[in-house]
Amino acid sequence: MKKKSIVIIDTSSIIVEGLKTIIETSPEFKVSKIYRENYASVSIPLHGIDILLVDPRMSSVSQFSKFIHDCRTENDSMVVMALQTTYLPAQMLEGVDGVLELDDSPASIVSKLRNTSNKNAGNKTSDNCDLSQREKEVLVLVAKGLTNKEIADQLNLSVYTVITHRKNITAKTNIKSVSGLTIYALLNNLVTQSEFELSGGE
Amino acid sequence: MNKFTEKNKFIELLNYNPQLILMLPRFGMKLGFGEKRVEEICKMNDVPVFMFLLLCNVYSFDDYMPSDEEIKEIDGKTLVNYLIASHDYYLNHRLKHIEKHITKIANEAGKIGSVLLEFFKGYEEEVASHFKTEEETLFPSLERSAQDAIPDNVDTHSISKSHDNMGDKLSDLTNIIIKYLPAEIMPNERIGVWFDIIQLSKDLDKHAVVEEKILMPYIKWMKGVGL
Repeated sequence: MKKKSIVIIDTSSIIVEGLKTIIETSPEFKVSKIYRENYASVSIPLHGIDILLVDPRMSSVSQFSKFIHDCRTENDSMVVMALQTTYLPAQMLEGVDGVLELDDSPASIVSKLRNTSNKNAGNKTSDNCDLSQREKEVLVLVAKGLTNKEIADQLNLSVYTVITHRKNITAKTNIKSVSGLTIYALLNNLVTQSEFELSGGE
Repeated sequence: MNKFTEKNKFIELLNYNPQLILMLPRFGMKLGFGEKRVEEICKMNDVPVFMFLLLCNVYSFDDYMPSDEEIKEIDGKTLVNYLIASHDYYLNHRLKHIEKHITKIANEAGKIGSVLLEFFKGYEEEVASHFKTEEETLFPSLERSAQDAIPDNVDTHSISKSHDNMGDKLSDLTNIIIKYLPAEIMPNERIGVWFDIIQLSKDLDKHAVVEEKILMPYIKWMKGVGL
């Protein structure tokens, strides 16, 4: 089984090192990156990350909800969990998928991570027209009439990866033809009609 | 039941598979058949009963595979007439009917409407051109029975492939109409045309099965390979 990749953001060494040790006792997870900083001051590449653990303390509700929104725009299949190390107002935790508390036992931390990430995976399959950010990018270029090779070059991917994305797009939308995908992209405002007409349709 | 025979009443065939009503116009047969048996109806309408049953059986039973003997017995002219009548029904009746409804929906769908209509017309053109290829390259030689009459360049593989592509587009259309167009655009019209497309799609699938289980093996046999 592929390990789920976790990123931790917190200014406290005690917390991040402790969490890392606890998380890595479980074979399901690996901590792929630690940011010992305030989340607002770092720029984090989120591609390929399964779970983001972030400590929202010392920021405002609106700052934190903007941060969550930005993260989800970049990677909408990722689970976001808050680390509650101090008192947090309830609104602060509205946008997150789950919360880890300072008093949680190691077993409860691992089970919270597992349950939250599984629950999230379940939602994604039932709402099957939700494309990931990368899939949307590929779809836009398909709609504009580019070949797999051209898409690969433009997005810095291998042709093989582009084909995999295209298969997933078709599996999620149930649409196979290029012209059908173009309509899907237009209906979801991923491309505008003028962009589509400039490319000369199919 | 796994096969119809000439002793069945035609109404029994219809009760088993209502889609078989479409066989009547394709064979030039009329309604008002009462309780007549298949053999009587065929005789009245001057249709070879063997061909009528072969088509009804392939059309209705997924695991029905014509034997080598049956393929040899095929009457090319009847088969071609049947296929041309089917093409005419799809292009000039069903697709025109669906186009009328899609146009209504497209007119209410704002900017996306023109793209939707274009998609449908693209599909129609693809179907028309597929039928034209078959009618021009394949059918004329089938009506003769000389073995050397089949052109060597007939690409049966690309014909099958094109069946798949057309099926994909029709399935895309049903998804777009039901799942992705904004909810408020003509819901009743969309539900109506959705059923029309599903019905057409089933019929076209069977049409492709007929070509693959009857037409292609017949061509192979005429070419003197495979049988």
